[in-house]
Amino acid sequence: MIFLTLKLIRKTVIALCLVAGGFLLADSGWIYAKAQLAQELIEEAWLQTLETGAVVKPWPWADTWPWADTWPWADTWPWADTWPVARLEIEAHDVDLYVLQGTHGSSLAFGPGFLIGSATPGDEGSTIIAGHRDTHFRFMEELQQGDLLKLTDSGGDDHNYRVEILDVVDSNQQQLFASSDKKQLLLVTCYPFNTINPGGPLRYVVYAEKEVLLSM
Amino acid sequence: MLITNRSERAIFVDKSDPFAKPVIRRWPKYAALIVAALLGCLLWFSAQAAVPENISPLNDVGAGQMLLQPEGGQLILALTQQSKVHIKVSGMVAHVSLTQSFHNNSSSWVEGTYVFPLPDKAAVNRMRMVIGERVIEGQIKEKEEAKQIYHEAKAVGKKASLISQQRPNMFTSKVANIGPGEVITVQLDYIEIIAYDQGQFGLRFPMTITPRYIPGSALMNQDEESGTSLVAGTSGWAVNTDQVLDASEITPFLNPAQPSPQQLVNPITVTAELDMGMPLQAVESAYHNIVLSRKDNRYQLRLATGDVSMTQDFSLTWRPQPGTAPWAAVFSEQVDGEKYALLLMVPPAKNSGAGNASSVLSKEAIYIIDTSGSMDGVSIEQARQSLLYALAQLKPQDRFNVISFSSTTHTLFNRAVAASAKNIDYARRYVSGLQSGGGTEMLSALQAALRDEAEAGFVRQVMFITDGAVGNEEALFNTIHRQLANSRLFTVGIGSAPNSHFMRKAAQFGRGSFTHIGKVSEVQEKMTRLFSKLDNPIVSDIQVNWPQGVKVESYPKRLPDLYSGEPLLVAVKVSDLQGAVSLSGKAANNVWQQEIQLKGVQNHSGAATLWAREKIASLLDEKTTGRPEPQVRQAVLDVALTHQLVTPYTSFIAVEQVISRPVEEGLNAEAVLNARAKGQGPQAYAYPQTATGAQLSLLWGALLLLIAAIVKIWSPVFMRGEQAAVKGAVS
Repeated sequence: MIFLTLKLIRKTVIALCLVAGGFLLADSGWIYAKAQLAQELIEEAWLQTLETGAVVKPWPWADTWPWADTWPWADTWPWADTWPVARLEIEAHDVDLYVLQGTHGSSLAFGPGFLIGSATPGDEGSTIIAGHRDTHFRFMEELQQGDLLKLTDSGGDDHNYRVEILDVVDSNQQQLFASSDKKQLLLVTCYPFNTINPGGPLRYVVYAEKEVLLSM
Repeated sequence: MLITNRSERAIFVDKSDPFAKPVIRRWPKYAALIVAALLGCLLWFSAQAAVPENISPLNDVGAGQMLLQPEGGQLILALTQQSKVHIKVSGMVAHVSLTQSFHNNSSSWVEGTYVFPLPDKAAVNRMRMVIGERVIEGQIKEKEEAKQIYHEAKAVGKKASLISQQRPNMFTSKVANIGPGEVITVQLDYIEIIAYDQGQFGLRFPMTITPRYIPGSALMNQDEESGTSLVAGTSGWAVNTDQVLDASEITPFLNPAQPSPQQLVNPITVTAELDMGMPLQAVESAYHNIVLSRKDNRYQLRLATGDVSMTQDFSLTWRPQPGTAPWAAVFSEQVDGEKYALLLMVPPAKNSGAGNASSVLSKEAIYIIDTSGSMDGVSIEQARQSLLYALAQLKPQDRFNVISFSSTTHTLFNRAVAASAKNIDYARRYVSGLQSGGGTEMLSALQAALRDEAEAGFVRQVMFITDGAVGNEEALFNTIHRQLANSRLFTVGIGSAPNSHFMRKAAQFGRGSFTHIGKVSEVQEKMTRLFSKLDNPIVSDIQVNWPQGVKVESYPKRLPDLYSGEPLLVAVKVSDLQGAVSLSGKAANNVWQQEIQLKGVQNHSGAATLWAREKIASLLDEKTTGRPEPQVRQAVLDVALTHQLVTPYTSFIAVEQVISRPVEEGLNAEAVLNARAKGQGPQAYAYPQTATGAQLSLLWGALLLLIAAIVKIWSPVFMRGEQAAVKGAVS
């Protein structure tokens, strides 16, 4: 009897571990795959944005069909509610990313996000862009003072920023304050870069000031 | 040798097990296949569906709102809002009508969301949606039901409007299906009681919301869970946290534009009519220029400049001419066979010995000053000046301490010290050097202030100088309620758009009083008034006795102590309004008693609504003091549905029956941006969540597979052991 019970338990444990483990691995792979592949899709939408000057959503889903709001699963795909608003290039680190509207989890899964309410690229004030430290913004680890960041806005204009300050802050202790007079670009990601726990309070913030003269 | 043997056996057992081995080998493959298939489907579908959707011509997206650029013109927001408020004061009651017009400047259909402030004691009891000539009367419904109706109307293309309450002084207006170029107006009516303090009447109409500090740690995966938020991505600048569950709904974005007379942000016109039934001595608007005209005892006023930006609260005060000041007033109303009355009374001023009684007791004054980021700009200067004024009022026999807080709390002295010239000077220098910045962790500061008890012979007074820009009000009220002991808490509201709800309720739970300071030049006057309250004896043990046999339901349930110049306000539902009501109380060892005749009292519309509002406030307080929420909710629902009031559990909903938006045309979600409060520092943002759970999933996944493998290999050994043991036992 004991033997049979043990055998059953053993089988159950193995099966459960396999299913759960497989699911988690798939989930992890899914996150990386989304992050990579979405950028390809966004490129299409971005080119149309530059051409037409209009907002182009890479995934129209719910929005194109008004009745989709009433679908029971409408809320599971909220990430249709984002679109590319800028392109971030950093030659020194081989970075070329499309920046999406909003910093909610559903847009950061697909690309760095523009913090809604922060300054429009190139304008006075702080333009704030956040990204996941383990996908799109992994490169931030290597950013150094003096690096040149190029941000293209949806009108097709380029803005160059020079990295000035690299800072680590505790997000439980302070909020992010935007400058109202300087033209600056803030890149934000989680810190430290190689931790497992995704919910930590530390953030890595890079401040870059706009270059007045184009350096190219 | 032994080990090899076992593992061989293990392999053998594996082979005999039809279940485990193939699973180990094939599962990853299946998982990979499923993932690949899913991914493929998704990408294929995405690519197919990537039809360009022109929402608006745009050069700049990013202010949280779509911007339009008409040819050669300046930028215009896709959705703009214009307000009009008319305040009609008669007796002690103000009937206010507020209209919000939502203009869709884009060429697409729009759903608008506007988070706006109202006075914290406003009883919102009517809503209408106006579309051109058509008027649709709003109905009060249980909150979830109203939301459901709104959702359905929005989805099928009907125009609809929803008014819900986030905080007693913060509401959300949603309007669905505003056609291209169209205007939809939402009209709200509310009633409130005029404030009366130290011989002065006053009311305050709030204009904008100072960004609230949201304590706590972000709730993960809320994008997926918050299906409740009607508009994805446009709800608020903060994310929900474990301490503020609705943070994203109470943090509207600010308009980055700097308002000027040429470029108004959220323009509003204000008109008012005062009819107190008596001549007035001074009608003043502290922060806006007004034009005043008089006809008999009726006064009419409007803003001198017409429209203004909604950047600073509108504050109106007036005084009766000397000798005509009222000492008591009763207003009654009969609704559906029920009699309601409002009773206001100013306790008699002491004839002699003012100040003498207080000088017997020395005070222990604890000053808390908020130096958080939201105080940036003019607010911190007002706060410093207020505190310096307070320090100057200390008498040598007093004791005091200063606590400043932002993200962390700092107490100047370990505990209260004597108010010696040296100590005061030290404190003055400390206060003068205070700068603003960081979070608003109020809880620890309050706890630090309420931790100690006063020494015998001292009255303990805590003065809290803040803009109240926090999202976790209820937790703070709860702390004050539990830890107050013998202290008294006085709040001083700072800035152009303070959180009045916080000021009033914190003072109520702290058994103190509150005051507002909106500019540096007001510090002197307002603080003098506050100190005259602190230094004069309070009126306590107040009792209201109704004629025998009259059934009475009266609010507030527990009558507060009154500070000098404050009136007693009681809202009652009574079975009969006959005879006289007698009031009594104690002030500095003097007992006073007075009677008010009820026969022939003034009939006044609004008394019933205000009674209901008081009852609801009282019920919601019970939640703070420990009554289970479901009970409170049911009790509030009963009152709110009967009296047609917006509460945390009820909303107004209006739906037009005609379908106006063709289903094939999309609907864009837009939020009205609030104006930045006058003199307020830059906008604060919450840090976004910037890590995925990918590594964590990877680690756990690998770990689980490893466990599976280990169990697979090791368990036969255990079992062999078991078997052997069983055999051994048998033999």
